Amino acid sequence: MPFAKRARRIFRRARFLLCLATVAAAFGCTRHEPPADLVIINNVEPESLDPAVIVAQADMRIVSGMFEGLTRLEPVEARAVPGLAERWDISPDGKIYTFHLRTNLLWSTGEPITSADVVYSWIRALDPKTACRYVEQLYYLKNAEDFNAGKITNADLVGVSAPDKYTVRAELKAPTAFFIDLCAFQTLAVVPRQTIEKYGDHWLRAKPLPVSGAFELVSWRLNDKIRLKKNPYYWDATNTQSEIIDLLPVGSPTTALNLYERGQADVVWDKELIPSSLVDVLLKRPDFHKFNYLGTYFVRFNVTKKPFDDPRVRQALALAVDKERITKRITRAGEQPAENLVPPGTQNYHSPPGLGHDPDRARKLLAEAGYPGGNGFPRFEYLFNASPIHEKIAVELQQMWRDELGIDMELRQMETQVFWGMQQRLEYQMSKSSWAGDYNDANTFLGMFVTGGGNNETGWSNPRYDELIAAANNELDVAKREKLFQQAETILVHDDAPIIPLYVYLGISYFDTNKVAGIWPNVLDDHPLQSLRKIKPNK
Amino acid sequence: MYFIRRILFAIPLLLVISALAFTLVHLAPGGPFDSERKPASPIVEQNIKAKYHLDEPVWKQYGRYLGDLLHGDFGASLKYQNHSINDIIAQGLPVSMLLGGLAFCIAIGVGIPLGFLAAVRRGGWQDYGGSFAALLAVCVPSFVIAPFLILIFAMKLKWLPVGLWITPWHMVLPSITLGAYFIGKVARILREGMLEAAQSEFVTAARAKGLGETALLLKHALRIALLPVVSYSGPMLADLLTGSFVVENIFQIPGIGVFLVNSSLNLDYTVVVSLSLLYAILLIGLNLAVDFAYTLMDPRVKYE
Amino acid sequence: MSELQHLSPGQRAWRRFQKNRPAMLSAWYLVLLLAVIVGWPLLLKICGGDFARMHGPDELSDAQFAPPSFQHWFGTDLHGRDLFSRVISGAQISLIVGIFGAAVSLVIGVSWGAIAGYAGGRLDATLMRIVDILYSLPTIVFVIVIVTTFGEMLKQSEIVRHSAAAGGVLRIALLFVGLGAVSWLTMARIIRGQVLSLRSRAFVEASRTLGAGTPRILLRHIIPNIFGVAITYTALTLPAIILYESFLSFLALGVQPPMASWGTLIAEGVSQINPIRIYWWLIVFPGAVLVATLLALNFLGDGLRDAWDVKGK
Repeated sequence: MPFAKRARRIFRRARFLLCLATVAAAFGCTRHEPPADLVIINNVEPESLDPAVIVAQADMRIVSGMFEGLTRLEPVEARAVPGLAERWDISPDGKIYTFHLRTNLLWSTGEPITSADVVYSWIRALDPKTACRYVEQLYYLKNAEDFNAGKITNADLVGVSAPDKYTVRAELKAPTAFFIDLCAFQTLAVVPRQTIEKYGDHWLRAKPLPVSGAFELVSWRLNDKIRLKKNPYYWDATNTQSEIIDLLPVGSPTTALNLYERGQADVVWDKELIPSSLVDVLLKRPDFHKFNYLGTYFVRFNVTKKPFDDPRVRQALALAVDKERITKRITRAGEQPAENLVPPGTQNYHSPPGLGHDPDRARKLLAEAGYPGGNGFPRFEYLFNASPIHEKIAVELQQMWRDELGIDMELRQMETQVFWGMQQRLEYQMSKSSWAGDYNDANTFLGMFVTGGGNNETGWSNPRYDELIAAANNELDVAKREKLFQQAETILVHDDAPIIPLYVYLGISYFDTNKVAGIWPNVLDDHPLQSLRKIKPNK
Repeated sequence: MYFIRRILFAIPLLLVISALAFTLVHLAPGGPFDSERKPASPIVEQNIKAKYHLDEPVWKQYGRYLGDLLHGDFGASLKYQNHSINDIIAQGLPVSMLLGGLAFCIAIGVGIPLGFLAAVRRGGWQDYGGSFAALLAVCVPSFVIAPFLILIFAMKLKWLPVGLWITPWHMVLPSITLGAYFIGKVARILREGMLEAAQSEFVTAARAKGLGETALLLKHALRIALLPVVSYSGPMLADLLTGSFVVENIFQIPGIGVFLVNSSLNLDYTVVVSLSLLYAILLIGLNLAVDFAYTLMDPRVKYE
Repeated sequence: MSELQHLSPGQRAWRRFQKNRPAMLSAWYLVLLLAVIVGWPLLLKICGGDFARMHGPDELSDAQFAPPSFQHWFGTDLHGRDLFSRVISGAQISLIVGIFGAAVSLVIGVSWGAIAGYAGGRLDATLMRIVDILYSLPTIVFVIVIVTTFGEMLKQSEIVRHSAAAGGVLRIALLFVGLGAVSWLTMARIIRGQVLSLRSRAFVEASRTLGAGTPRILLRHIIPNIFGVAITYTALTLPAIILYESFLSFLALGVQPPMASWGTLIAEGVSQINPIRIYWWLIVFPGAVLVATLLALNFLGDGLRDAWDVKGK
């Protein structure tokens, strides 16, 4: 059978060649790129790099290096300082802001950035078609909310305009004490109009991509890395410390730690990327840093359904939680148990006392509500998204309520995507929640629980609370404003208790201070890429 | 003729598969745009949906999807909005294919000698040891193997990197992890084939002719015993080339396997359907190739 | 020879099986495992009190990460739960999922394959085309969608809403239905092949000419003759399903906490592997038990196959 023999030989040779080709391909695939000055591990792959679309804090850390707003955050304390705007004037009633842009502003392609670009960027974020999720950050502008809801279609009516090439005039609904901070927020960053109009959704992958910030996007490979390069046309380019920065999308704490320990990454800067079972050992090392952070872990009740429609039941459950047990046993980085939603360290604000830990009072309240000793209390579910830390906290809560109140809780773990949907549609009884401050002001926390607020998600509504929040946001006097917020927070965490605060997050990052400079701990956990620098060893 | 008919037959098969995947994924609760922050107004939510035609009935969406597909466009990812699915595949598939190819080489290169040895020394310690090792490779999950390999070779000995996909050194641990299961499979299949072949008339006849036992096994039995391995190669390659979630996830490899799992979890409808389709195309294509190889290797097989 | 002649095929297989040492050893191991799985919870119940509080699989204690000791044979986890108890209760779940999953695949696979093979013609072609289609879908997508979608759908139904503990049971049921639903395909193909060859055998033809109806032929001739094949492949499907469940748990799609399965325990243990400090008992014990059981099941399956003299596919 000469044919068969030949065929066999061909086949065998083909397989040999296939293996050879694969190995050759392995070597061929070695990428010849210059090494980055700095490699940073930055939590999971960003869903987008569009300032108007992004939601996650990790994504904002990248995008804020690429696109800048009228103000920007300085790296040490994360306070808002002049960015694209050199200075600004505020009218006596606090409602009109006049921003004066720098005159030397250029896109990374060399074209000038003008006030029209600012107006375009804000209107784009407000445009219902953009579907910006953080759009409330712009609702402080006059008519902005109506424009976003489609009630008015004329963009000229929105309170932002460009009287001349270098001036932006913003007209607000009410005096907003934190408006300058908001201007540093990514949703309000300045983006390139022509590129967006030309490329649509894929504008971020346009080459060249004009950016207004300190870094240009060199490459963006999903689940691989994002590479940024210094933008020479940035107005403050002389202070940009690194030429090339790589950001790796890593979601697993173990992998992040391994990559760091093996020297494949210089900085890991997300509190979620530290293995919680090792926290006690790691935090003793000099290259692990923890700092206060504006974020609170809490539990939401769905107050529209029995048994949690009764504030006494909610208070009882809150009083029965031993928060210290959670921070000591589970999170273990030295987190503070939280009695309030607004974390300590928030600018111009001190929280009122909360409910505290009092199992006896809890049992009494539960009995008053008609469930003495937990008798007759319906089974209920605690909803959380799949993640080891949430699961562990849920297990502890379950045990506490069973032991202290005699009530039975079922755990319900959901895939993250499904979890958000269920929480928003109130398809839960009790759910894991957390919130991190978008800017350093009590309003970023308390504002979300007003009636019908987009992120209320409890079904809870209290007219008195709404009034207090509105009054606080119209108040220019810092002390009076604090008083109003305090009264509101007392209703939220003490009287009505639609939520149970559990603990205050800590910011955690790890990098060797002898090798990397330019990262300072601050309550917003914000670290501008521009100031990051690898320290060259002395020759 | 037979092969042309099979290729033609694959087209309706692919249509049904894509339709099935499309319906299944749309049945899942929630949607791709649910996220931590709720859109500020219902209008905004509606706008997002309208932008991706999610407000239309499913059959209409499917029709639109097929239309785009005819133009070679898989559409846009709903989760990673700045990337088209063509981009995702173009970036991820070569990486996964390379990883899978390396794992395939390892599976064949180690599995065949292992299975051969076990069969030749039937009943000896090599057989017990080899068979046990092969079974162990099949039984230990890759997400247990990987961390141990990393701990030993990357962290303790510092010979190899922990993860990422840059140089050939980065590819060593992932290919071994991915290949391990298939080494075991191949070795077991080959051993069985060898034992069966040793009893076949073909080999008995050769033995009668007075051929030495080793030469006999190498020349005749192995050839027959390889056939089941070849037919297993089809599905094996399809599995390997479309990536492995566990290996890509643990070693931080930008392949397509991670997308396959994550997109089903994130309800990224278009990506799920496109990747399912890609998998089906690969599977059908490879099975076809395997059958073709069969006709070359074994003159007894003829397709009409 | 004469002795074997008057034995039924089942008895003959049993004789052969007994001579297979690894398979017998595996069988004993599995019997022992089952005894512990059943016995341990009983022991906890009988002893009650402090003993149960210390060793209950869901009982939290202050002994976080205690290494194995006389008190806690396998040590404890983050919540201070006794790992031995958790491995045992994980075994219950994993084996239940495995056994029921294999049963689902057995029932669907055998009936599907038998009908296709026996009916032949157009029905056969249609049924096998469906198998081809399902084969070409990536398994993982299929399973994820089944577990998430149908979980939600059932959750909305009234019965589930009002019955206690339904959530956990439902999740397990979904797992084995989902896993069974993806693993019956090979079974169907093999059974079809068997039936196809049986159908044309002399004794079936003879029975048909003697006027036997379809049900009678199926019951008397076909089913008994594919019994061995079916049992063997079920035994080999079982470890595959257990392994798959552990993979799903790795993705956090497995059973609901605080319930444990081997998969969730191993996923937890694996996350502890790092260069700084390893709580080795968290990975070693669940891992060893899982691997030992999978090995035993595989040996058992191989033994059964040799005993029934089933040819490879």
